[in-house]
Amino acid sequence: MRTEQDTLTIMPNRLQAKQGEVIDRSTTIRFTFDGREYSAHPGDTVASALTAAGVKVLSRSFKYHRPRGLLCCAGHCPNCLVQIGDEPNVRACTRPVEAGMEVQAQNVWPSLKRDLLSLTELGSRFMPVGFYYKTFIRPQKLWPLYEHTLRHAAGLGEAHIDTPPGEFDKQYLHTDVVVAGGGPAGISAALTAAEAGAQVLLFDENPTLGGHLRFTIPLESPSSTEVSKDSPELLEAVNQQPNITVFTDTSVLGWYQDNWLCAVKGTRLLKIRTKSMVVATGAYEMPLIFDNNDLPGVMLGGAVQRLVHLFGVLPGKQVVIVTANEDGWDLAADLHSLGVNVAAIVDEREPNACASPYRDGLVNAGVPVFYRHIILEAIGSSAVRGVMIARLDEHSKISRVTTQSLQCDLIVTSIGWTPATELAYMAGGKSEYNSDRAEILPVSTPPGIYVVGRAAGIHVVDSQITEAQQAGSNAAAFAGFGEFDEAAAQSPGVIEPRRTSDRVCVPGNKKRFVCYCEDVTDQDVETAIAEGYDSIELLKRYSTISMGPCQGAMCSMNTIHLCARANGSTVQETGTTTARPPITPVTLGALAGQNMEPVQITPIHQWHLDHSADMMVAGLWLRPNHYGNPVAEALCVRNRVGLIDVSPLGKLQLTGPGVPELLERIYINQWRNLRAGRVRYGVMCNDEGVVLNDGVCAHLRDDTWYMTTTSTGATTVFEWLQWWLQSGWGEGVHLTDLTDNYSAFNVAGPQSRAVLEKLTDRNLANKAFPYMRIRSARIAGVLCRLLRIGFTGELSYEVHCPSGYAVHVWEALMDAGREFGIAPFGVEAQRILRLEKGHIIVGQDTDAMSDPLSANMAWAVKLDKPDFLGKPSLMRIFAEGPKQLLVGFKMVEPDVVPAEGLQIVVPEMDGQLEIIGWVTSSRFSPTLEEVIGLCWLPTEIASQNGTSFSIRMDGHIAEARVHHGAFYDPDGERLRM
Amino acid sequence: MSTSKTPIKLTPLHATAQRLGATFTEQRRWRIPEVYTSPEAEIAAAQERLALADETPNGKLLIEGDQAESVLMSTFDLGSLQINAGRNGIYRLRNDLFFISTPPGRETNVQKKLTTTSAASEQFITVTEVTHGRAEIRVIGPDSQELLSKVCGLDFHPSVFPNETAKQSSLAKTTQLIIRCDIGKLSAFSIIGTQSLGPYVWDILMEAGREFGVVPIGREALLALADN
Amino acid sequence: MLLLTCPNCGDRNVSEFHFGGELSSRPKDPSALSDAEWANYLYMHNNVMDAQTEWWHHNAGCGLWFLADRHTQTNEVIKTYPYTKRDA
Repeated sequence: MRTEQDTLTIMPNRLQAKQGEVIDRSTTIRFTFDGREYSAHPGDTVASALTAAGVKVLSRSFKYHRPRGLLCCAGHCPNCLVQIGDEPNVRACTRPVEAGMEVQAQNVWPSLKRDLLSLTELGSRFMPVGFYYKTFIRPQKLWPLYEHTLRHAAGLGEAHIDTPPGEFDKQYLHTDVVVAGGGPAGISAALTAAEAGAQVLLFDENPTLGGHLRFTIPLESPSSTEVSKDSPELLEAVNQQPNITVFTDTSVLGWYQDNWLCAVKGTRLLKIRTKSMVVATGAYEMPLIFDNNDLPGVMLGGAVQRLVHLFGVLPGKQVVIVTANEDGWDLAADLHSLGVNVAAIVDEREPNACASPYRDGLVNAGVPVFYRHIILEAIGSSAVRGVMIARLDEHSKISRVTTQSLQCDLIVTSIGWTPATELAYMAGGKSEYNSDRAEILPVSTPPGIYVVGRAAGIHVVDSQITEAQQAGSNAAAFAGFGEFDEAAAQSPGVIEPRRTSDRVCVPGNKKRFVCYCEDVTDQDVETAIAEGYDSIELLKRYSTISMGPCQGAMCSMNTIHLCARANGSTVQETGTTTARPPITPVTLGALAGQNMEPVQITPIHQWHLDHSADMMVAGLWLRPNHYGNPVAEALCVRNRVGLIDVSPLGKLQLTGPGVPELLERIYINQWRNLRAGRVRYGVMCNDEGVVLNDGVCAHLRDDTWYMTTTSTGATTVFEWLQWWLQSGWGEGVHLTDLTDNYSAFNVAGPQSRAVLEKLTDRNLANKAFPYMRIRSARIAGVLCRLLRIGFTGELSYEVHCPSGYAVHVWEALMDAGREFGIAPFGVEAQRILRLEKGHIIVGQDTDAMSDPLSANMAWAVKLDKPDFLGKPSLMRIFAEGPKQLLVGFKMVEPDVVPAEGLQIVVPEMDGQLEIIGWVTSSRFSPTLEEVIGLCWLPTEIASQNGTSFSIRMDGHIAEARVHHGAFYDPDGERLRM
Repeated sequence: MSTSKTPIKLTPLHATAQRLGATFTEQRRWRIPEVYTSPEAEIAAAQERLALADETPNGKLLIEGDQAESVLMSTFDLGSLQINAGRNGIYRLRNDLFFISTPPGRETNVQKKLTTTSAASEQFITVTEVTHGRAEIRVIGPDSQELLSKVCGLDFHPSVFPNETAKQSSLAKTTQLIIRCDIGKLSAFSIIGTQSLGPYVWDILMEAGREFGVVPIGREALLALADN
Repeated sequence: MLLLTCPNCGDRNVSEFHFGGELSSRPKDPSALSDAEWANYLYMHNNVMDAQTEWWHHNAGCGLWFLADRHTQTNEVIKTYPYTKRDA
C-alpha cells in the first residue's frame, strides 16, 4: 500500500478531499501517457489525473504543432484529444481513466516534448489562411506526395487497419417529452413535465446529472424561493419520478424533422421520436483572444471549477483571473476559500461596475485587483510563467505605457458565455444578438420546442428553475398532458447581472488563436475578409473555423465579433453560421450500428455449401455461381441433365376476372387468348417504351394466373403492379407475392424427362405435356407446379414446389438423376447456356434506354392491341426505326474473350477512335468452342449478318463479326423434343 | 416412380437450428427444434430474459377482397375488426386484406371453409395459403420489447401496441409482419416475413439480443410456457 | 426524420416509404395525343415550389400507394389520403 504522502508526491496538484468530488481516493490505479506511468483514482478522467500529476502539455496543435493544454475541461475544445489504445481522438477531459490504459499524445513527431514539426511555425508565413486552397495545388502530379506529407503533419490520431470491429448498435426510443441537458433547468423541466403525466427522456453528456451545480457556487438571487437548488435533492427527485428515464454520458447530436432526435451513448446510437423538446443544453464559456492565448496554463473558469470540485485537482499554484463580470469574482472567492493563491484579479470594468458580493471579502484579504485592466499576453514557452496586463484609458484603448507583468502559473479567463442553442436552431428557432448582454439569445421557437437555463441566457438558478418548470409544463401540455401555462414565467424579478464581454480580442504582436482546432488566428480572419470572404458562411468555409472537433463551441461567437468588426457591421447583421448535426463528434461505428445487410438465401442454401458451391451475390440473394467447373456444368446440361436452383425467380399470383385485361395492359404482347394450362413469355415496358422486365406468365385455371419475373426485378415488378392496380387498373384483380412460397428448380438437358418420370405419375410425353405448358404434378410425393420452359435451350422443366419441401424435392431429383449423370449447375453455366441461345438478360444486355425494337424483341410487340404501357412511345419508335440494335457476335480469334462493357470502335481520320457501341455479354462457348457475345451496334452495322467490327481491348483491337439468330440450335428443336 | 422417402417439411431456420445444436421433433410433417439445451433452462430464459423460437409451421393464410370482412364474419362468427387489430388469430392488415394464423396443419381446413363460403357468397375473394413462404420467429420474454426497439422503429409499448395487434413495418431493413401475442403475462411477438430472409432476421435478433442473454428455445419449452 | 401518415397503418418513419413522384394520370386515350402531348405526360413535371400532391408507397408496410399533399419547400406534409378515382 502506498501512503497518502506517496500519493501526494505522485499527484502533487491534488487538493484535500472534500464534498462533491467524484473520485475514490481509497484506490489508486496506474496508467501510462506517452510511455510514462502515472497514478489516478477511480473517477478521474485522463486529463484530471494528468493535471494532478502536474502534466500541462496534452497535445500539439493541428497546423503549427504548438503545445496545448487543458482549456475547457468540458469535452468541447480540441486541446486534450489523445489516442487511447486503438481509439483516436478521445477527449482526455471526459474519458474516465482505467487501470492499465495506454494513452498517447496525438499529432506529435517524434514526441510530445520535442515535436520537430513545431518548426512549421517558423515557416508559418507560408501557411496563410486558406493554404489548402492556395498551395500544394501545382504541379498536380505531386499531389500524392503533398497529401502524404500533409496527412502526416496534420494527423489527428491513427486509425489502425487491423483494429477489430467494435460492437455498435442502435435503439429507437419513443417519448412524450425530451429534455436535453440535465442541469438545474433541465431537471426542473423534466420533473414538471413528468408530474403532468408525460413520459420524459432526460439526456446529459456528463456522467451525472446536475450541470453546473456540480461544481459552482449557485448564484443567489435577492428573493428567496422554496425551490431547492441543492443538486443532491434535485437528483433524488428525479430518481423518485417513474416517468423520467435518465440517459447520462449521452450527447444529443441533432434535431431532425418531426421532432426526431439523434443521440449517442457510448457505442449505441439512439434515435428518438418525441412530441416536444426542452433544450437545456447550457452554454459554452468563451475564450478570450490575446497573444499566446493557447499557452498551456491558460484555462477557462469552468475548467478550473470542474478540476477543483469534481476531481480535487488544482491546475496551478499562482492564479491570475481575467474577467469582465461577476463570474470571475465567484471563481476568485471559490479558489480563495480553498486557500489558493489568487495572484490577481484583472477586471476590465470600473470598480463601481463590480457588484460581486465577494468583492469586499477578497479585497480585505489582500487579493490584488486591477480594475480597468486587460490581459495582453501569456508569458512562457511551453507553460504559463506569467502574464502581461495593461490599463485601459478613458476611450477604452489599451494604454501600452501601463504594461506590467505579473508572475503566475495559471491564467483563468472568465469573460462570458455562448448559449448552446444548436438544437433549438435546428428545430427552427430564431436567435438575435442582445447587445446589452453581448450574447446571441433565442427569441422564438416553433411550437413544442422550449429553451431554458443558460441556453436561454438565464444564469440565476432561481430563475432557471422557475422558467424551466413553466417550459416543462408547456412541453407536457403540447404532448397532451395537462394545461398550457400561458402566464409569463414567475421569474423572481432579477435582472440577469452577468454580461458577456464583447471585447473578444486584444491586439498584440504574437499569435492569437480564434480557432484552436485548425490553428486559425485573428489575423487569418482579417486576411480572409480582406481577400473577400467577408460573409460569415464564406469565412467559415475558407478559414475552416468552426469546422474542427469543437464544431464552433469555442470559436463561433468570437469569429462573428471579429467578422462584424472587420466589416464595420453589427453582430446582428453578421449573423451566425448554420448549426448542423452532429453537434459533437461521433464515431462512424456508432452511426453504422449493428451490421444489418439483408441476405436472402434459398432453402437449398446449406446443400449448396455442402457441395462446395462458390456463392455469388445477386441482388439480395446468395446464389451458387458454380460448383467448381462451370464449363463442365454447361456441357452436362447440353449432353445429359443438370439441375439449377432458380428459387429467387419472382413469382406472383394474379386472381380475378380482371387479370387478362391487366396483362394486356402491362405486357407488350398478347394475353387474352392464352388458354388455361399454357405459358407465354412476356415483356413489360414502361410508358417511355423502355424494357422493364421479362419472364413467363402461366394461365393456371379460370381466374388464376401465375407470373414469374427476373430474380432481381421481383420487388420492382411487384411494386409496379401494385401501383397500376391501386391507381385505377385494379378492378377484379388480386395480387399476391408467392416468390418465397415456391422454390423453383430447373431440370435441364436431354435426360430431364427421364429423371422426372422416375418421380411422378404425370404423363410427361411431349404430346401430353408439350413445350410452353404448365401442369400440376406430384414430384416425389409433393404437389408441385411443373412448367415446361427453358432458358438453356435444352428440353427442360421448371419444378415449383412449396418451400418447406424444397430440400426433399431437390434431393429426390438429384437421386433420380444419378443414373443419368445429373450434376448441379450454377449461374455461370446458365449464363453460358443462355448466351449460346442468344437469350438476353434484362438489366445486363439492356439498360434504361433500351426499347424492345432495338433489343431484338420486336416480334413480341403487338401494336394492334388497343392500349398497353409503352404503346404510344413504341409506335413512334417503330415509325422512326431503331438507331442501335442489340445483336450477337462471334470473335474472329477463338481465344479472346472481351470483357463485358468494352467499347466497340472505329478509327477516325485523325487516328482517334470513335466509340460506336459496347459489349454487354461475352463468354467462351464450350459447345461451339468459339467466343460469342451480345453487343449494341449502330443499326446499319448490326443489321448485316457477318459484318466485322472492332472491340477495343486492353492495349489492342480485336475483331468480331455480327451474328444473327441463336448461336446454338437456332430453330429450337431441342426444346421441343 | 419412386417415393422412397416420406416428404418432410423443413423450415427456413432448419440449418440455423442445426448449427445451434438443436435436437428435432416432428409436428404435422414439419421438422422443428425440440430442445437446444434443456427445457428447464429454456423456459427460465423465456420467463426471465429473452428467447427466440421457430414457429414457421403455424398455418398462414391471406384473405383479400372488398368483402373479405363479411365472408370472415359469416364463416367464423367474428365481430368487426379495426385495421391492425386481431381476434382468434385473424388480423386485419388493410380494409380489404386479412391475415389468419392457425395452429400447424389447420390451415387447409380453414382455407377450405373460407373458399366454400366465399364461393357461396359469389363475392370476389382470394384466399391464399402462404405458410411455406413466411418464416415465423417468436420473440418471448420480459426483454422482448427492448430487443425489438433495437431493430425496428415501431413503438412497442403495450399502450401503443397492445396484445393481438398486427403491424407491418421495417425490421432490420426487411419488411415484416409483427404480431403481439403475449403468453399470459409474458411479452411475446411473432415476426413473420419472407422465408428467404428468415435466417438473416434470426441472426440479427440473436446478435441484438446478446446483451439480454437471449437463447433459442424448442417445442418442449414452448409447450410448457403455453401450459403455464 | 419525416413522419408520414399511411392512411392504413398510421404514422410511420418516411424510411418505410418510397416516393412515387407528383400526381399525374395516364391519359385516358393515349392514341389521341399529339407527340407534344405525349411527351408532356412523360417528361414535363410541374416541379412547383409549393404544396403539391404526390404518390407515396408504403413498401415496408401494407403496400398501399396513397397521396400526400406536401410542401416542396418546407417539406411539411399537409395531409395524406387514399387514392380514389376522382383524384385522377
